[in-house]
Amino acid sequence: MTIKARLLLILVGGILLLFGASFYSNQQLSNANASYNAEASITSYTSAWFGSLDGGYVNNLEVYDPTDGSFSNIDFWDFEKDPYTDGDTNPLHAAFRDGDEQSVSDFLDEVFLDAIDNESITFVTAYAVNGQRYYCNSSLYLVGADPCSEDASPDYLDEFDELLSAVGRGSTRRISLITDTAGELPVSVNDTMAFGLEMPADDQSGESQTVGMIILGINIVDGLEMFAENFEIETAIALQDDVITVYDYYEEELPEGLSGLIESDLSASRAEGYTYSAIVPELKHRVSSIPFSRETRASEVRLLIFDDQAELIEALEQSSFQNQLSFALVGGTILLVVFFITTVSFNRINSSIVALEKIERGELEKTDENDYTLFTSDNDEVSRLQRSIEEYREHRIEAESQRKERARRRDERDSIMFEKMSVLSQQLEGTARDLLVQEIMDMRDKLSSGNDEDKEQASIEMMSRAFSKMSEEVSTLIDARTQELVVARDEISSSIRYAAKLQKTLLPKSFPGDIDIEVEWRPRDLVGGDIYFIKDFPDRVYIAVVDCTGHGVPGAFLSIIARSHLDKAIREDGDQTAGEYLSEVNALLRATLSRADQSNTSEEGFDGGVCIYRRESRTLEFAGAKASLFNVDGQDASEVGGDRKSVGSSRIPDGFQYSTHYVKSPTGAFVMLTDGITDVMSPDERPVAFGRRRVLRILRDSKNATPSNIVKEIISSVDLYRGNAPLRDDLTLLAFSLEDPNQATENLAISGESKG
Amino acid sequence: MRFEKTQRTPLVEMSNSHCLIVGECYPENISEWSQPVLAALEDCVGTQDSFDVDIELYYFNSSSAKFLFDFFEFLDDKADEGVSIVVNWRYRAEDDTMQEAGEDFEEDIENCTYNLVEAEPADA
Repeated sequence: MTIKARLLLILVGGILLLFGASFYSNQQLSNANASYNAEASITSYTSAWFGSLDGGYVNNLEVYDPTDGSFSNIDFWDFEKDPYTDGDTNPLHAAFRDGDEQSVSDFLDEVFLDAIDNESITFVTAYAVNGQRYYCNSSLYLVGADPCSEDASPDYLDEFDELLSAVGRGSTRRISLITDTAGELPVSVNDTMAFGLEMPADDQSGESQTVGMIILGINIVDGLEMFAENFEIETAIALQDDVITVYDYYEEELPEGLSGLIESDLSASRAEGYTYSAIVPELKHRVSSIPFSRETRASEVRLLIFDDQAELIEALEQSSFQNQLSFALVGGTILLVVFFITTVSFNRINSSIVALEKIERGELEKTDENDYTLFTSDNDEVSRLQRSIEEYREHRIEAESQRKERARRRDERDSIMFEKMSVLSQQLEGTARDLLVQEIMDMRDKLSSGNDEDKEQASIEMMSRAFSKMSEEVSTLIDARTQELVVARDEISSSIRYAAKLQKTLLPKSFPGDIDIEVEWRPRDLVGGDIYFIKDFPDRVYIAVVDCTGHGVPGAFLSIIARSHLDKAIREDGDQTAGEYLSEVNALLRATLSRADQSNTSEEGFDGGVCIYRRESRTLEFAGAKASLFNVDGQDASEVGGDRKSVGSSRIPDGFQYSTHYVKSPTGAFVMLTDGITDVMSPDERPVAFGRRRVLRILRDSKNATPSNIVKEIISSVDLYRGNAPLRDDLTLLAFSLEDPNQATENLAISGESKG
Repeated sequence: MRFEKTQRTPLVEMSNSHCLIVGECYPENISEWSQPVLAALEDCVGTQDSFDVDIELYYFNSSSAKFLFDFFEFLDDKADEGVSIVVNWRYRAEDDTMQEAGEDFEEDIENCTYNLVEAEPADA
């Protein structure tokens, strides 16, 4: 059973329960109401009827009461008066005492005939104390059993003695029923007053004695008719075993429904007792049963009152019907509304469930929602549920699109990988190739089948296999390349070693026999920009130490050019000073290096010094480009500075000539060096270059100034100075001595002269 | 502007009124290093009336000498145009190489105020 059905069932049960409770309480209320109405009816009818009855009694009967009656009538019953003759003995008493029936009759006729004729009294009867009836007269218009007829059986005769003793104490009122023993006439019901005729007793005791009893009766039919008319009701008299209506007296047909009502009384009086009031809905009447008079018991004589309650009953039924109808309407409406709301809600929940199920199945397109705007709001639970589902659906769509995007990228990646691996496979040979091709085929199969997860798995697997395959190939390749590089490196280094060998061949292979020369030539790398140059002629010797710009291979190239120009600039006839010679080299070099090319920002060229020693004149000429010539002669050391212009430099003005310095009768040792010596740096944070002053100091301090010793001392000093620092530049140190060891006394004379 | 010191190049600090160069200079490719320095110098000099240069070098190779010539030439031209330029060439007392180099550059400079300053021998 669905929740909706359960809810509706509970609701229906609740409404029915409510309906039942309401019905029950209504019933209770109406019962109480009815009971109250019954009480009220009984009370009001009783007082009305008794009032009406009393009125008749007082007006018609009680006026004859011996003590309470009207003044004119009292005298009739006074034994000391004769109402007709003013005598002091009442003839009526005497007649009774004497049993003079005729006198009694005459007397009473005189008193009552008029009243009987005008029907204010229905009958009058008189009895002697022995029970003998002396008189009876009744109205001509009497209905029912006539008390004076032979067949009449008045009920007061049944208790004559009690009645007689009662009237001795005063008049007695009672309802008297007179039955027709012949059974032809209905019982007549009469309000009666009985009184005794009193006179003093014969025994002189002073007590009174009753000599006769007179009973006056008035038929209640008239009163009843009037009562019924006044209240617009029907009435009946219920006796112990009979019910009499006015219609019985007039021998008329009972009106429709009255006999039914009487029937209903028979059953009701049995159930509820003799005094009651009840509505008989089917007959649309209220039946009220009350005691017939104050003096009678209801068990003996009752008055039945039937009043028409059709309107009330109809109104009640109407109201009850309306009650039920409105209840049914309200209940039905509530049920309908609840049914509608639950239907709508559950339809929406159902559609949400359907939407969710669709999302679960992967159908992500939007479902058309029924629009129940009347019964929904944006904030109700179902709307919130729907919104959540909608958000979930959007998330799923996003996730789906991401999944597709991933799959697409994966496919791209995979296809690239296949491509690369195919390329790779083509580079392989034999079994390795077949294996790789087989592997590619297998992976393609895996990737083209299965669901997303399997594909992803396969893709990752393929990637890792491809990667390991590639890395194998790459490391093979790297090994191969490394091998190539090693070969190349070896080739280059062997080339450079060969170049170094070649460069060394450019250096002087032999020195002039008359000059002691010691050289330290140390390129920073295998080859360098430093060279030294010695050209020996019979009359003169050229000695040059040159530091070309740069080092390594470029420096070496430049050094070859420089050497060639140093060679080319020599005039065969020897008619050139050292300055002229250096200037010529400069000219040649600048021409070669195309100084006109202004875009060339680097400064190719060289620093260095040249010496020309002329044997005949024992003269040494020196010219320097940012280079000096040092001299040490055992006592002192000195320096001859060159010009501060590099050979080949663009800064040299046109027509510039290097100066020539002359050393006459050169003695001691001479030293030429490149800045590889002076620029050796100390290994400090703020390093200081070795410098020329240190060179001079070493020369000055030297005890044994032979070229080989000088070179040894300077080089060891330089190596000590730089510590562990590598060489920054190529380094050349050349020392030579020209003197004959036997002629070591000449002074060193240095003079400089610029030949412009 | 600041060019950090490397093993082969000096520290260069440049502002609109001052330029400091400290260290050694022997890069493999001098123009690669010198061009941005010279460009910065062109941007800075002349924005104010005066410009001070402090140079303390410990070593420079021959190709770097070319850069220094260009550097001083530019400053000298600017001084000729009216900018008051002071160049302080600092060298340590024991460093005759740098002292002589400073003297060499002094010869080429005509318009700048050029001071050869003997710096403290020990590290400051």
